[in-house]
Amino acid sequence: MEDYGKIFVVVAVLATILIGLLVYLFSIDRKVSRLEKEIEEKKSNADR
Amino acid sequence: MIRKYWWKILAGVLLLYAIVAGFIVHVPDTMIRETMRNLFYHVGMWFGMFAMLIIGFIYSIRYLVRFREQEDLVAVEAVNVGIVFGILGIITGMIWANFTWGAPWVKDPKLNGAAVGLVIYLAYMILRGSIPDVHKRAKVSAVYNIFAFVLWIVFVLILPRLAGESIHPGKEAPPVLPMHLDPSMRMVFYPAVIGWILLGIWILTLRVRIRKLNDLMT
Amino acid sequence: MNHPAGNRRVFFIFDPEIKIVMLGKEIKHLVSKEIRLELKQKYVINGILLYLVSTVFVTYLAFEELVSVETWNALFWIILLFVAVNGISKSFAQESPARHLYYYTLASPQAIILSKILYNLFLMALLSFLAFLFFLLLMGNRVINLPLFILSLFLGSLGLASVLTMVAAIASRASQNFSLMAILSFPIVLPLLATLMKVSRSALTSPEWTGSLGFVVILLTINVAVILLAYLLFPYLWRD
Repeated sequence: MEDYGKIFVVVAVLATILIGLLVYLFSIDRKVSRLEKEIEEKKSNADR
Repeated sequence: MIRKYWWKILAGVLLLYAIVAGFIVHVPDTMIRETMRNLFYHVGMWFGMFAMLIIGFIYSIRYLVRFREQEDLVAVEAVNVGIVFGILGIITGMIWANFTWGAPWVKDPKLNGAAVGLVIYLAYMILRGSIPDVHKRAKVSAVYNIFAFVLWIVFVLILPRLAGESIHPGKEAPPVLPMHLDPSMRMVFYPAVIGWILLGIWILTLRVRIRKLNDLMT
Repeated sequence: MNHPAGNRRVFFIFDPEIKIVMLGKEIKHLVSKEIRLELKQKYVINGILLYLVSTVFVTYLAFEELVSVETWNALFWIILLFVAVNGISKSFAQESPARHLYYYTLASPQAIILSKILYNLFLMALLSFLAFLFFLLLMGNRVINLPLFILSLFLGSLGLASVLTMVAAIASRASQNFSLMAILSFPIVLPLLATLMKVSRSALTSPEWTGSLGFVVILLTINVAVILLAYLLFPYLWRD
């Protein structure tokens, strides 16, 4: 390749994709945690 | 442990490192040149799949020991994620092969073994789909998982032998074993593999948690 | 150690020789029962023989000239595979529920699975031998290294019998239809078959043994592993 610097465009693209997917996973993780807490609270409320 | 974030962030960091460093690190001058960098990603998929299937195997055994439904859930979701890794591995392999060898598929023991391995686990999913009763399904699929996994391992370990016996060297790609790997590539490869495996475990835990929530709702 | 059947002598844990002897007796009894049953009814064996003869005949009709060694090899094992799946899939389907319960509360699950595997081994050995004869008759003799080929027949029979019996056991617990058995058995059997074909192919092309020894060892390993797994895992399938 003539211009070596151009490869970093690919790096930037891949990094973006990866970060995007990770953020997505994080948001799912948080949602699940919230749901689990809700159910825990409902259960302890029902027990009382 | 499942809800902690540190190892998930670690996974993200490792994978980011794998992407950035993967392009910067020096690759030895072989026939396939720059595409060798695919090692960090395509082979990472295989290691991820391997790890997932091992987890599935372990949890299937644990299920047969104690019959706790949680462990069957982990086993099936591990196989699920393993299948995803496997499909990605095969697709990326086909893309790479097309550029390197001119065709997306060749009759090679390693490739055939990979394909058959995937079909074995797809059969597992079909088996599960055919048993409506929860306990029976868990028990029968655990037995099949253990049986299939051991056979799968035997076959995957046979492949190097088969490749050694045949004229075709197995793969014209660079050696896939870390021992043969150029030391500078190793520095990216190991962290990348760990990153992929951690990512797989993360997705696995999420799937299991979502399943449990679903079961609680119904 | 967790033992499924209730009526075991209490000192079996301490006395492995007695355990093995009892197992052997059970197996012998069960196998002879299966054989006697089959000879009486001839239900399965007739169907399978007919299937075998017709498939070989179809291949005979399909090819005008002498086939290549590769084709001979491939056809032989494909036909044997289908015959095996057909024959062994019925292993767990035949008994009526009442007789089922009666017989099998008396025998240990390990004895049951081992006896079924042994019975299917006899069946497959017979069928592979007959298939070989039919092939010799209709498709010509392409075997150069006969002892190696016979060895591959034996290992193949053992391998197919053990793997397919176990898969039949699993499939019988799931649903009674044949397609599930086929779906489950084909991927698992493929690598076994590939190795078998390598061995028999070299038996068809050269008189030497050296190249194939590695594969033979692999076949032996697979067989041992499968039988061991079946022995360990079947009790879990059996508890109802």
